[in-house]
Amino acid sequence: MIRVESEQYGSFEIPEESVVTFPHGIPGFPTLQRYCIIEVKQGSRFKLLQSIDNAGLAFVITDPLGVDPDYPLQAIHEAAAQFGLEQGEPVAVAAIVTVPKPPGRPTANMLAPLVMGKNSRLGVQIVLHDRSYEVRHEL
Amino acid sequence: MLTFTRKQGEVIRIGDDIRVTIKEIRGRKVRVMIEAPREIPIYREELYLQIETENARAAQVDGDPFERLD
Repeated sequence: MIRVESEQYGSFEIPEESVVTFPHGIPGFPTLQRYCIIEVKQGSRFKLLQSIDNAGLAFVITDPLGVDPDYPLQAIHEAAAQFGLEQGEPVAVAAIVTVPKPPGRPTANMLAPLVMGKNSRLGVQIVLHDRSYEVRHEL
Repeated sequence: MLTFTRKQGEVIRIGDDIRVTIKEIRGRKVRVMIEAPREIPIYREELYLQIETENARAAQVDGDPFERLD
């Protein structure tokens, strides 16, 4: 088990094998590589992607299929292989949610989902080729 | 920084394992092929900047976002 500190939510013990490594970080945060997913609110469709390297950095994430049941998983698998995950590896997909100050409405980044390999435990933020998906998709 | 002039079909190699090939030049558009190790993410610049901006916005949260969701 390793201890993860979150500025906002305190500290958590997580199994080491649940760490996801983004070898190149994500755009905007290239040096922060290790993250874990924390269920802050039981039963919520939103979870926290907490940086293990920086207690002050965390993202709200959600399952994009819950936002759009027709989300193109096949395209994501193909893109994920191009972005360095193992071919055919089972993956978890998440959309980063932006929660602005009210009255701003929460949005999900459906154009650039996070893809995390379940075997490799590697993550990458990919970009879909289909431009009908938006960076700010209103929830 | 380096600036090159290349013809169609010519290649630029970056380090040992990145190759950039000028596939086609047609009018004001250039088609480029990039061969790089799989672990190097490649983005179109304008999309990279858009995602970078949105990631920075998403990382800026005041208060508990979970109270404002669901």
